[in-house]
Amino acid sequence: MTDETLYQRMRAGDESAFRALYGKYRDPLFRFAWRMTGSADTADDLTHDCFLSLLKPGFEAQRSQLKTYLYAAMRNLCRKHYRDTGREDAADTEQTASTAPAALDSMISAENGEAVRMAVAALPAAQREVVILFEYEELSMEEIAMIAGIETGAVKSRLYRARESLRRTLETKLRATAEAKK
Amino acid sequence: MTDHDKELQELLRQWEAPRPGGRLDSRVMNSWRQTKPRPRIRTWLGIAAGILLLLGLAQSWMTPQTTRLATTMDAQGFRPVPDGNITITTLTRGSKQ
Repeated sequence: MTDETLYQRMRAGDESAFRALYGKYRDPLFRFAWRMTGSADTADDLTHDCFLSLLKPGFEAQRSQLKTYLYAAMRNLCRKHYRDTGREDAADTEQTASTAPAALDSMISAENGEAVRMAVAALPAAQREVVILFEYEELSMEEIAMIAGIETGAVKSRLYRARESLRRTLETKLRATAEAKK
Repeated sequence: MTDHDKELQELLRQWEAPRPGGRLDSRVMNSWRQTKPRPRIRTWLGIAAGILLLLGLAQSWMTPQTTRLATTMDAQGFRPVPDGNITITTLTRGSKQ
């Protein structure tokens, strides 16, 4: 069953249709919100609001796909969150307590992950959202263009500049990774 | 994709996202149940009209037809006029036959 069919059934009050859409898009939208805001609690709230916004009229199957509509809705919620708070949230620093010594690979990966998080957070918002949607959500340039309301060429340009910035910022890490492979 | 892009991509993928909080699902479904769309009044009226129509049709099918045009008559007790002599009697209001 297509997303558009599920949407129509959901709008008519069909709970199973809503569950199907929720199950399909919960994790991708949460991940996007988490990477944009840096907070799991905020990402939870925004994911909740994003799905409830489906109850309001707004999606038109002739104009866009439900997938890009949802990502665009989440993008707008993230931007509203920035305006309301005046800043992005600091990244969660909660660590799961563990009595067992962490494996070296896990430690290195966690360190690299933190470095990447800081590098992406340092990007301008316009470049950050393009990187997140392309590298992590694996959306196409055309889909990102629809979500961000820009031309495909602008998406390519922002992605290119973002990657250049990330390479400069993460140069040390990239070199260490390349050395480890030799 | 170039090798540089692949290396960068491998590094970027090490920034892993957590899973959503355990309460998100119940929170979303509770909100959905409180605000989900209800079937519109027109839909219910249409359903009711359809049911009434079906009931009416069912009733007409089940009711035996008693109203028929008479095509035959019971001729018991009928006596023709013996000599064909016909008398026309005019009746007025209040007159007795």
